[in-house]
Amino acid sequence: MSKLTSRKQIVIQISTRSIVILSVRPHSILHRSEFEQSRNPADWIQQIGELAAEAQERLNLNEIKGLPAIVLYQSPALACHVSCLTTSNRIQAERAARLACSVSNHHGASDSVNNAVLLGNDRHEGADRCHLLAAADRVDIVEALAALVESLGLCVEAIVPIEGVITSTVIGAALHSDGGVFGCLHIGRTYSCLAVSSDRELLLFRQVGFTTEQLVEAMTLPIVLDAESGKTIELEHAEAERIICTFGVPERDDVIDKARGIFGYHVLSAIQSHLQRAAVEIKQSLRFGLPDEVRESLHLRDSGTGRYIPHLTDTFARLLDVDLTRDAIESTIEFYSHAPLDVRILAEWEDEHSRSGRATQNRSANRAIRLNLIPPTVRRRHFESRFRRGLWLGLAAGLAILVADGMQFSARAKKSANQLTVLERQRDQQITARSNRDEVIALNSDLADLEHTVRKYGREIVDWAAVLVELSRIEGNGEIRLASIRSDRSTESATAEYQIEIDAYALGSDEQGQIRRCAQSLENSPLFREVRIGDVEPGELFGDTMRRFTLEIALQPFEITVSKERASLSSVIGSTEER
Amino acid sequence: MIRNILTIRETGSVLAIVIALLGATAHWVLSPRAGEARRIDAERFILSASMNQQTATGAINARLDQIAERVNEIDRRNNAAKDSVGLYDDILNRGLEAGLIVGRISPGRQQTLRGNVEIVSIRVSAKGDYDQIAQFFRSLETMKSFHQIGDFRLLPRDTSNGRKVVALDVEIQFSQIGISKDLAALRRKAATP
Repeated sequence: MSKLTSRKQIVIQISTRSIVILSVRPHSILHRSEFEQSRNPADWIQQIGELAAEAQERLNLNEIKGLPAIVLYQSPALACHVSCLTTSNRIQAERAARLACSVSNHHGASDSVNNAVLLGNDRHEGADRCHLLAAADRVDIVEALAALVESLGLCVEAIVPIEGVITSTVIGAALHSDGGVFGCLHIGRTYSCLAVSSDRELLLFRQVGFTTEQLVEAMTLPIVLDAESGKTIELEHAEAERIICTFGVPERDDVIDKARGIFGYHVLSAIQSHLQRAAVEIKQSLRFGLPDEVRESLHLRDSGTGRYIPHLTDTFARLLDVDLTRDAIESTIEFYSHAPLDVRILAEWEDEHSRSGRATQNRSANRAIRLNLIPPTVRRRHFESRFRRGLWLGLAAGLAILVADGMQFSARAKKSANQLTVLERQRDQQITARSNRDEVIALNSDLADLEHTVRKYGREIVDWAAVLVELSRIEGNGEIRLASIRSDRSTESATAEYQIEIDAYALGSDEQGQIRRCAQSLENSPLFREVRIGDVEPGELFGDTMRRFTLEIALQPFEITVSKERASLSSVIGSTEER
Repeated sequence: MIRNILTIRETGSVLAIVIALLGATAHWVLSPRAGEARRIDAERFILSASMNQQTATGAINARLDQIAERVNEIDRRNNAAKDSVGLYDDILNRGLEAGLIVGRISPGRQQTLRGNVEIVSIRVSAKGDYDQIAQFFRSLETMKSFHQIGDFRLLPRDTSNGRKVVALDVEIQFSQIGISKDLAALRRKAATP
């Protein structure tokens, strides 16, 4: 859950002798306080309370209010174990490691907080192994730490044992090495360990009973300056720490403090026994823990606070008779107050994320932070707070989505409604148009009937002028005299045949022939359809013989032969007019 | 940001709640709105499809105008037939213009035929030669009324100067053609501005 991120964080480191409050990004020490950590848990808790009160007074709490804080700590009741289980079931392995850790710490389930993380897997003699780091501590201790953090206005992100971070980093580096034999000797201020792997199989992990703090403690013991006079000197812890951090393992003739007559051999005599004991322990571990072929090709890398103590790495290399180099394994998270290294060490430790070649250590560091001993009450409070915040965020997001959807639907519905209104208006217009169309169809029918009536009664279908001119031509040669021309036309028979009855006289010697020629000439006219000769009877006119006759002429309706006969009519009328 | 704040389980819970809320709200609030929008869209689609099949309004209106114009024309001719005084004057003038000696002009038969046609006849007696009578007949054709020449009688006579004089007795039938109610309504509509 918790990990180092790019945002600003606060790291509170509580070791056996000091409490340091640091700001990460930008890196700065906000507060440092020295104290002698009690080995009694109750007293320790009380000490934490006092340290919290002191930090509250010294810190500008407004600057750090609300920032996430990671607590790196050591406590008298802490248990931190590395477990190696031959199983591939990670969950079972974690449960077993947590149980083992709690039992070893003699805590009940309700009195302790425990956690375990998987550091890595390897295979040993064909079987899968899980390497786990488990830690357990008393509830009241971690609650005191959480109270300290919250009293400073910070938010508890993680409560992590320093041992856990170191162990995780060292074993992680061994399990995720580049291959071959890999060894790491971590010499810390309060915790040291040794790990060796071969082809990413963890062969050896031991806690080493040597710390740089032991060197400082040794320097606080009375130092005999002059054996003859029996002159001794006792250094304060801070002064001893300063000497160790400045001179480390000095040469015999090095002048440490000329004024007080402290030389290198004084320091060496104080720390020599610790160095030799540590060297023996490490050599025995290597001898009995590693096969000969591995031990022969072993190359140890140094890490921890010890690498910053001058000549300490070289001294161990000489004592152990192995290659020991100050390799860039940054797992130092313990600080000495006098060393100017504090911030830089933390920065390097934290900045591992940005180094491309340190991906494995990044994972180790993150694993270490996951070894979180945050108390259940705080965890529940955090959960509730986050859950509540998540609920509100979710609700807000959901409501925003709903509102957006609603607005979208409303806009769409409104747009569609507008379009529908336009279309309905168009539909109404179309309905009117359809009604008009039906009306037009009906009116067309009525109009057709009306036009038929108009044609029947309203328009002349006989060109009477042309007929009259044509009839007048009968008298052209003077042999035929018209007596009367009569047309009887009843209105009801308007569509019936038009007929003209002519009453005329034929004069001269060949009356019958004249009558026939007259009838034939009329028949030849396009105006007349049929000419029938009626009564023919002899008579006398002014003393001359003659024949009276009648003609019944059926007229050609004008309309029927409109195109063809019209031209004839026009020519007839034209010739008549000319004449 | 939420991922950094919440664990996977917490995030899952929150998301489940939000999804449930969204679903419920969508079901109770948004779904009816969406349904409404879909219904409107469907109606719009159907309307658009049906409207493509409609007849062009302009053509219909143009045809209506033509019919109304024609009906008005018929109506004007009907009205001309009702004006007997005007008809008498018109016939007299046309006869005189044709060179006829117009004698008597008298009302003839009146009858109503099938098809709602009323006929009013006018009898005209006149004298002139064939050409004058023919011109008179031709002139009658241009009258602004529905009319036909009914029965007529021509009696040609020779005068002392050798000129042919024809006595004309003709019945001119003026028709008033009934217009149906629908067409009459259209005529009134067209007359209204």
